[in-house]
Amino acid sequence: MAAPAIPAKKAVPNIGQKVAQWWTKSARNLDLFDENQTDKVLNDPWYMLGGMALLFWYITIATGTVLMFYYVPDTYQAWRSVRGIFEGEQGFWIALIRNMHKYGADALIIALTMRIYRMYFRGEFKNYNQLSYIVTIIGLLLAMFSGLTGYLLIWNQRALWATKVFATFPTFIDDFHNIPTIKVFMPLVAGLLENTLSSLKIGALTANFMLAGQSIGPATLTRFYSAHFMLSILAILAIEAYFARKGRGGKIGEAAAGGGAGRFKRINLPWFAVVFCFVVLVVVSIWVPVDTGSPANYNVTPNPILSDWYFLGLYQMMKWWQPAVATLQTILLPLVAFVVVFLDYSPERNPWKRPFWTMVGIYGLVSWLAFSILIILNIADIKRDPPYVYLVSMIMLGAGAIWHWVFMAGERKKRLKLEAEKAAKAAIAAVPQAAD
Amino acid sequence: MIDRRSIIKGITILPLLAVAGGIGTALLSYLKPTWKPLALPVTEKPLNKDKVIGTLEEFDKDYAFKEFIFTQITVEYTARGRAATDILGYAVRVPNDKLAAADVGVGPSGLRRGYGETDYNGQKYSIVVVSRICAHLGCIFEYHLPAEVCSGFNYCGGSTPMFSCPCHLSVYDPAQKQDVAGAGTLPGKVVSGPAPRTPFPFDFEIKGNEIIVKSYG
Repeated sequence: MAAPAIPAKKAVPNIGQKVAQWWTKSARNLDLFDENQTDKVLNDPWYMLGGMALLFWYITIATGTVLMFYYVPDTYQAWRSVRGIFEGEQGFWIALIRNMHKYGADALIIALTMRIYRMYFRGEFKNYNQLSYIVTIIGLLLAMFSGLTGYLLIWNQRALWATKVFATFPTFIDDFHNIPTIKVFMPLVAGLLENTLSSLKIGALTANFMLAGQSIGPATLTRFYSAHFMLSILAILAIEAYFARKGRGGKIGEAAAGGGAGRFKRINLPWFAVVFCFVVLVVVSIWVPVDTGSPANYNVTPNPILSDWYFLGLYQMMKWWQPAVATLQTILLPLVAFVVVFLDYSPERNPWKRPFWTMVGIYGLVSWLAFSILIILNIADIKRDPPYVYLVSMIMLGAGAIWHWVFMAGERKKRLKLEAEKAAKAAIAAVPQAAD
Repeated sequence: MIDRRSIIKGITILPLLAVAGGIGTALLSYLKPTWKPLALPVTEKPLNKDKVIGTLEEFDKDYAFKEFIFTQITVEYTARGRAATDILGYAVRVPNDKLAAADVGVGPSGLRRGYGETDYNGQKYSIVVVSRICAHLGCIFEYHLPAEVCSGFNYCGGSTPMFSCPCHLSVYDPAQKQDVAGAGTLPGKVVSGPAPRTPFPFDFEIKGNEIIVKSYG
């Protein structure tokens, strides 16, 4: 008896091959500073955000290099040296450069944030382009961390207490297993967390690494100073490597004869946009000089005390959630942003044709802005507010889900109607043939 | 067969091997455990110097307070062997009927943590002594009147002075007790804000009219 023939297996890629394919295609599509959008940038100002981000990054690094000549990284003289620049001891130009450094970094963070939301709402991450979105978010996190390490250097009250809070919140990583939701509903996960993160004291070690010791002091200042410098330099080297690798041969805008994509303009902006950004930055820097606040004092926490503007949303979160939960959320937030673009897998790019995901984006944006405004008003109450916050979240996401469902049902109805019409037409066309 | 090429090869490879061996030995030495036990300074009694932070006469009425700085000296595995940290603290006299000494947890030094009672000059004194470091994220909290707590820290439910932290608006009532996991019952209940527990207490004793702080934590 002959063995039955084994049917030829259909070539379904396994998970590893899928990931490899995604990686290859995403890496090929990588577009970090909108350098691929050479045509769009002239018609649609939203595509200037990538070029602006890199422009402000370069400005921040250039001005920072100059400031290194004047800054004294020492707890006794740091504030004094920055104050001296502010008061004009080093002359007008250095004061201007210091202000441009601060406002340039702010502009970089604004440009990156807006670019992330543009990519999200326009569905630019679709069709194997999630990597650009993810790398931009990582860039934003690095920029924010650079900002944090930067504003400690001034050694004023805001710097000291923001660092204190920022370095203390990771200590609650050791407390993750005590979060009620995890402890009650996922005892296995809780046990795992207790025996890994908690018993290794990962949180305390993180805090210790950041502060270079048990508390904020001269060693912290040195550590932050090096990190502040190193992060930017490494990132800019990576960007140079990226452009060098991406654009081989040829002139800017022309494909190379050897098959390379041609060189890319690093700052993909029309000349008037570059001039405009620069002029606005200089005008703001002269008009609104960056104040230095009062020098750091370990013994007094001023009231109110606020972080720099881009951390205000997180700061508000720290007021409303239990510390361990707030820490977990802070860590999960970027991961959620990464995962969302994979969950929204339909090829549809139009934001109104994927309502739930649009709503998720709006929810993120609205809560970040609302949290930032609320912290400035200083009216949080952990006993009163959380139900309302939760209600608003549920209403927004629920409305998104319902809207999505209604929309998809409508689309399906339309499609079925169209198919029915087609079938009817085909039947009408078929009738005379049958009569023949 | 030994030819010129293999001799040159040998000459080149020898220093490379030597360098690799040197680095390798250095790295491998990390795998060697410490053979003798480490000579850490072993001590049972606290290294802190007792600090007299005030006298009972200074606490003439309920909710009278005093701020102080206590130097905490701990054994640490460093070249110096010990580390000294200045800890800011508050001592507050609370009404006698609010807390009972029997309820409050006992610290390693055998003293009630953060709370003490005594009779002196015909009056009963109930004193709470805690550090000013907020148990939430480490900012320094202040002692405020109820009106200030209401306007500045968004907690209007109290009628007595409270500890209130500017960073995330945690408010503690020194005259109420709260159970803290692993530390027993301590004064300084969290009445508002995200703080996970009471302020960290000082171990202290009252001798005569002097309040003497012995240890922190």
